Amino acid sequence: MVKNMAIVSKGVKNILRTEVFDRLNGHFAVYKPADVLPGQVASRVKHALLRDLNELPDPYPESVVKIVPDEARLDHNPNALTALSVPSLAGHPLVKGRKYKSLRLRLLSEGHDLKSSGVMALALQEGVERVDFYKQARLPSQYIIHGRLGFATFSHDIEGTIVEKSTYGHVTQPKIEKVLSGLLRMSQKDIIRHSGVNIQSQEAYELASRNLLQPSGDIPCLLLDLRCSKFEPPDFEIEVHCLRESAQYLRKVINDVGLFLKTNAVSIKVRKIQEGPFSLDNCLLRKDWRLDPILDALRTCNPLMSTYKLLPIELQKDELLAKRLVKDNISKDITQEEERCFVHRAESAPLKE
Amino acid sequence: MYTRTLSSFRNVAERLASTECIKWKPSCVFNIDRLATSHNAKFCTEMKQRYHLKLTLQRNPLGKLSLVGIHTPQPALHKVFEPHKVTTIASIDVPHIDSVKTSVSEPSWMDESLPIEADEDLDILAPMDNPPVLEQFASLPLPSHTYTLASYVEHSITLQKLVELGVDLSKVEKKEGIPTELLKMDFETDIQEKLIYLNGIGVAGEKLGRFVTRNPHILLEEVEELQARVDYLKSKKFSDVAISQIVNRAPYFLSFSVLRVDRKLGYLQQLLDLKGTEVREVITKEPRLVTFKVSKIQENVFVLREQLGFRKSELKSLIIKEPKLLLRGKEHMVGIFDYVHNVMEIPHQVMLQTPKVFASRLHKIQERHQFLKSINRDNYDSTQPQYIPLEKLSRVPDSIFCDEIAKKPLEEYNAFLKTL
Repeated sequence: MVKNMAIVSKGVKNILRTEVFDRLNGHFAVYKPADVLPGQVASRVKHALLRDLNELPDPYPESVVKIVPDEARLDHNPNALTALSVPSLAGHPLVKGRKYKSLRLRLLSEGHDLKSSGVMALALQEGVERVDFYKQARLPSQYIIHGRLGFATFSHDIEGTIVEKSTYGHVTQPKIEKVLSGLLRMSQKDIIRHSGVNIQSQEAYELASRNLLQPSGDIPCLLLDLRCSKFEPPDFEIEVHCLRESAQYLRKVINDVGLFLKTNAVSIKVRKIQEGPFSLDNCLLRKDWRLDPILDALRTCNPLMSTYKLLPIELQKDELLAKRLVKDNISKDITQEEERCFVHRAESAPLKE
Repeated sequence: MYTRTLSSFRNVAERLASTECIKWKPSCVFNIDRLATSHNAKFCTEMKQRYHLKLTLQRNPLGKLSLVGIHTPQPALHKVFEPHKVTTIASIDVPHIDSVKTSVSEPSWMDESLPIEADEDLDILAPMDNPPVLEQFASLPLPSHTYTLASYVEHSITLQKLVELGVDLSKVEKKEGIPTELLKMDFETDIQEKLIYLNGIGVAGEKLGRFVTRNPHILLEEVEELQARVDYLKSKKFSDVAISQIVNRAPYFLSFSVLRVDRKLGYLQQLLDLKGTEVREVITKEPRLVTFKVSKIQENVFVLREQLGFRKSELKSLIIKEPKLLLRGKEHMVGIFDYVHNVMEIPHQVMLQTPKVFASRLHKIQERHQFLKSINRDNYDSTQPQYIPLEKLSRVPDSIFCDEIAKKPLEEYNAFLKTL
């Protein structure tokens, strides 16, 4: 009936709230404001959803079956019984309480802390089961870090206690870019080291020539790209592409940039602009942490988290597999069984020339 | 009855079992000399399970050992329904609930003195006119201890009438001592008069259900006490309209004794240097000032006077306009003041005129101020043209803020919010 149709905002109230609840599965992104803990964001979203769900009308209240004497047949059988379905008083919301009391909502993205802001992905209900699958995909994140030259603090943050002060008149944008490319080179060595292949081998050369030399397994924070997008002394902005990052690590990177420039720097703002498939375009602002916008967001974001897009990069290059997966994804979401079969088959298949 | 072989013993037992004779005391004796020891245990268990014959060895008067089978009937079906052990919040003596009626009269086959035997010819799935319904399921006994009032609501008219009124039992049952008291009360004799009195004061219709949900202890008070407290308010020249507002906004007000209310009002008057009319105005606007702890009010006065720097006369005018300030959280108030005074550079006088600014959310003020700053419209000085009044900053929805105050499209505001 309504299963494959989109829910229009006005129409949510006409649909059974059990159907709405069944539809709350998958992944979506919110714009995390600064000065709110990531866990607090998740709990606020959860409470807003529960409140909205409980406010939806319930046209089918609970009923209970009662076994009573059957008046119609009492004449010729004094012990006749019949079963009646009556509205249940014990199941009335004023007696039992709210129907929806809990939701599974987990953080999908790591790396946010109290002071950072930006895109933060959340997993809802059944989406929680795909968290591990998403993490093994190792999709990179993008940050914009606003920095300020001239002083260093204890926490590498503008609110910390100042440890050092210095002049920054000698700093120019080309100098910053030189330092960033140096940091990138150091990071590149780390990427190769964590890719799991011996850099002196033929295998490494073949992978590298096809751009498949990716880090794997348990990796530390790796910087994939660094760019200075703005320089208005003393303020500057750096765009970072990274893997497995944390906001404090990025603040330390800014501190190191300052030190390499023979001055000091702190980060004013750490802002995430992309998290895997989630970007600023499809994340929800604080005023939209409600049922209707979240349902819309799930509809747009769930296809972005399809199996094909979360496969390791090596397997995405397999054209046949890609076609098979894309074809399946258009009609319906792949079940977990099929997913496991594909991944297993792809992993056991040899690298094609 | 005597038999000679195992097979004949078995035949006799079978015949006796098939006759549906409930009370029979056979004494099938078997000469032990003929028993093969290897069949012994197997035969015993077979006799026990199939025909409920317990086999024992006895010495007959002739001196010979013989195997005697004694019929041991199957024990009556024990209770299937065992209540779980949970923390109890309400307990009743089951005989008190007289409204419980057995809906089915007891037929002869439900007589518990007769043991129920497993009948192998009976087909349980076949339709029957008189199905053998176990007594336990026909009329369930009420649990004597429970963790939710839902267990009793089907049987208690009091609870049913409260639900009809709109009282949320799931919230009421969480208050200590209330569920047991409610179950002991009868609606017509105990509760009705109090509800009628509350209706007379001004708690009517839907408000009554909400009132009792918030303050169920009101049902434990005597009507004379409630009358005395309302009379006290009338003696202090509170109008009827004011009294109904007070009672609706602070359901716990009427649970305070006259002495406590008098002391609190006196303290508030002395603390803020208020006149009689001003006390009435303040209490009517925010009657929770009487029900909240004094320490909270003292703390907030300290914050407003010492930390935020309002003078005593300024404080008085602030409280008369917005008495809720005395109940707000201090971190919230300090946070808003810090941003509005130090970042937005708004002086005390402007904040005095709009005390509602403390009722808004900090992040809203921050976001909107930063947006206005980015478009160079952060002008809060009333002497200059195109200034933005403080009350319009946070208390209006986004669409109105964008159209009338910032005069920019909503999309631009949303895009700006994603850069913070």
